[in-house]
Amino acid sequence: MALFGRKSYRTLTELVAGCQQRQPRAQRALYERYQGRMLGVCVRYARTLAEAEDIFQEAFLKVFDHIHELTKPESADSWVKSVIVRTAINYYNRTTRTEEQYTGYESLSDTPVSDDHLPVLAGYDHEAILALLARLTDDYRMVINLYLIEGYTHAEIAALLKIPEATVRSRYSRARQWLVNYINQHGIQRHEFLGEGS
Amino acid sequence: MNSWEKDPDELLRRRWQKVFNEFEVQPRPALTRQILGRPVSGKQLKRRLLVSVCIGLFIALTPLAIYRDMVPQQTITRLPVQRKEQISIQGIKALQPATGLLRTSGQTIKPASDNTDRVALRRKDTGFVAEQADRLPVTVTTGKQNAGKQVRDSGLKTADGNVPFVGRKTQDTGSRVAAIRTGIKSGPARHLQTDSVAAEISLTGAAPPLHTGSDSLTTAGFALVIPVVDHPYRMQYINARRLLTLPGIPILTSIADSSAPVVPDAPRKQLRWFAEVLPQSSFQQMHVSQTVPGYLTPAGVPVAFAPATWGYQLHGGFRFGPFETYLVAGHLRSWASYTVHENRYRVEPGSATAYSAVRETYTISENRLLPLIGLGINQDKLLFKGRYQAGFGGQLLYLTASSRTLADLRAKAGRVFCKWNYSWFTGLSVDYGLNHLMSEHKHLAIRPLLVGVVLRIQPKPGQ
Repeated sequence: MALFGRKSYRTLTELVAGCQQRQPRAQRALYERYQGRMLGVCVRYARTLAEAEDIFQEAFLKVFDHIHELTKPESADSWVKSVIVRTAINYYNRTTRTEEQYTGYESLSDTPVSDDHLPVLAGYDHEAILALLARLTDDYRMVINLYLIEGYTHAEIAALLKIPEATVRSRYSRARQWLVNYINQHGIQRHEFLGEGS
Repeated sequence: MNSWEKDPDELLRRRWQKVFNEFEVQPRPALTRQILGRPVSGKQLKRRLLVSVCIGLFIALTPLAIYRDMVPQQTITRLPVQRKEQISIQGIKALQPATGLLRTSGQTIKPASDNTDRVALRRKDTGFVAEQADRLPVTVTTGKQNAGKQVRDSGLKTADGNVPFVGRKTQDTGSRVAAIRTGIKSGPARHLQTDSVAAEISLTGAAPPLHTGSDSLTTAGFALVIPVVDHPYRMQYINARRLLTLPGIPILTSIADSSAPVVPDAPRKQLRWFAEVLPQSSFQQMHVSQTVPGYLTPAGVPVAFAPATWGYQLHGGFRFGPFETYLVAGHLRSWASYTVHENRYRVEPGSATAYSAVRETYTISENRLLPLIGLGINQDKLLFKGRYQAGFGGQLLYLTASSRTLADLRAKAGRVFCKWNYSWFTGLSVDYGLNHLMSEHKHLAIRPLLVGVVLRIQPKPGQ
């Protein structure tokens, strides 16, 4: 027994088992294992860092509360991430979705544009992408995140967000157009200063 | 055909997934505490507290147990009486006034002048010369002859109340043998507790037996024996090894021999409590963590011994001889002030060009008081006749806020003095951390170097 140190959990299975037994050391180890990556996920879904931290905190408490439901400890990585994503979606549904129903964001950037700037968009680093995502509305940001970064299909996103699949497709298309328009309007981007041209 | 023309969304998805695959954002420590505080609190806190208390009690009580085992060894033990080899004073009897000579093997005791009431003994290589006042002779017999008879005052009259001095403390040797009174006075007879003397003065092994020739001993010899009666515990310093080296009458010589080294009075080990308060200013050796995305420059570093650098420790424990064990509680000051120049830029509109890249920089200033508990062990040494004290030891501290352990080495030196019926120690201490602590944002690895002022109170020795 490590008296004041950290008990080392050699495998993910041991770690999950420790958390299922509500061992504080295991919970801390699990937290330290995922804290950086999961807060990064939350930052993508939130508008501000404070919102991201709220999602992060709520999600980790869910993880600790429901980890006994995890039957396959080896799949803990994807399970934790799915909890984070679902918590972000719930947070979005709870706080902003109602407001957006009255704002009509989807009427924005309807102008069809070409995909000429997509290579530029693909050359961005995470800072630039986050800056762009922060400018998107919540529903567009949600779809972009789920489709482009998480890798869900339109059908899965529709199931997660509980909206029709056609709406998902529409939102994604408009969000992408908005991004390309933004690049087209604002010209030189930071990756060109850094010599990271695509 | 360009690959982008096949499925631009798929390629965009692949690149963005690659970009965010390793993307991490470290949460603030406060957020971590907030999240881990809920499941951690309760059982874990109680368990940590219980473990700490158990270890503290164990360390505190271990010296006590050792002390109890050692107590019998430190008390004065009487050697078993060996009747054949000991000087039996039970056989001393008073004789009529006379002047006698004690002849031992090659030793002569000369009578002193009439006006002298003190006995001076000078040891020579082969014997000693004793000068004495005019005294009544006594007869010393060995063995069981005259056993049980009482020793009576010989009726000797001297100028100063018949108090001869022998074996006086001399300044050149710093002997601890005090001036010894013989106890011979004019007046009523006294009874000597000779059994105890016989028990204290024992000759073992090949010690030469007392050879008095005619079994008579002058009062000089008697006067030199008597102090043993008055100060029986002094005899604990006359060990068998010394007695074996004495010619003739070992007891007389050993007491009168002021030039011989005296067995030092070993400090009596005693379990004593003590309490310390220790304000400490925190100096820090800081190294940049490898996870910092950029480089750091110091900014707004507090000056040495500034108020913002002080923490404190409270020590309480027990001393056992030169060793001490104690529990520690207090607050460790940790500070860090630096500017982070990250390896990323932001685009800002400039005057000369349309856009300019500006490096992301921000300043972090941390100053925290970290609660700590711990254990320590130390060894002290008195210097300069006990006026000063130096110590060296170590501590194991547990920082409760960050759940980190810090081991450090301690050195201290200062002045010891007695006041208000207590023993005090005040001095300086330096603690050097053996392992690193991390700054709050985990940008710096900090090795503490604590300089402090010690103020200690403990009971006086012997109390």
